[in-house]
Amino acid sequence: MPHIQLPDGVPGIRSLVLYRPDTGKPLYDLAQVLLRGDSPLSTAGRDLIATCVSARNNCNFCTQSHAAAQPHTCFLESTHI
Amino acid sequence: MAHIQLSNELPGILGPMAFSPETTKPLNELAEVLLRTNASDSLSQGERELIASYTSKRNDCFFCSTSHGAAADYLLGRENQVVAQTWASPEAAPVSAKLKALLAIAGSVQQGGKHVTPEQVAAARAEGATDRDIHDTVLIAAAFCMYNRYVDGLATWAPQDPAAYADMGETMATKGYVYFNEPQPA
Repeated sequence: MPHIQLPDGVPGIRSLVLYRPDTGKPLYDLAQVLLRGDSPLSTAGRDLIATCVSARNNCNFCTQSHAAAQPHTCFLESTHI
Repeated sequence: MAHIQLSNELPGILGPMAFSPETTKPLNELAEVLLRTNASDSLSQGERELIASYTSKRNDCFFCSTSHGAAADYLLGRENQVVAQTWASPEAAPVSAKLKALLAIAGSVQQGGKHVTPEQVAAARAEGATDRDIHDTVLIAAAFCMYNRYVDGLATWAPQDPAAYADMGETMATKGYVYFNEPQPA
């Protein structure tokens, strides 16, 4: 159960962004520019970095959602995750 | 020396921020809303800067802990030396019982989100903390873990004399963070 009252039925960080859109907007803006903006790194490569960092932080929602956001999810079986 | 060529001489986070303006905009907007716009009687601007500085100190990030400490000291009264006492021992610092409980939550977030316990949250509530206070405390601590790793993960340089930060802290407290989205003199 969350430590504070959050919107029912909304998972992970999405519940926090719905609860406080004022802080949610710059967080999503940052993710958008970092993961989808112009970069020498591919979008898949950037989501792979995001999911690997999230796995090391033992954060299931971020790990799974960013793994699903890029096509090479087979790495999940090939690492310690 | 920074790990990458930043093409500027700016200290701390200002170096990579000038290098990458597209990511800087949301980073500064987040700091602005968390530390200034959302400030209220329940959790003041000075208390928010203190949480930011305390988290950064625990992350051993000299630039962030010292600069946000200078902002907190400016807002809370430099003569009170609240920041130095909070760094040394938040339980003994001259801050409210509610802020002590919120600092304990921030300290757990610094170790990892799952370190925050229901007992810590209950203790903060017992001292009058609202859901909003708890939310903002967790996000300030989490955001500063990000800023700290950004600053030190690129090995940015920082002035070593704490006295050099007094003016910087006052500027952060009075002009805020979106202000820094404008190009800074190199």
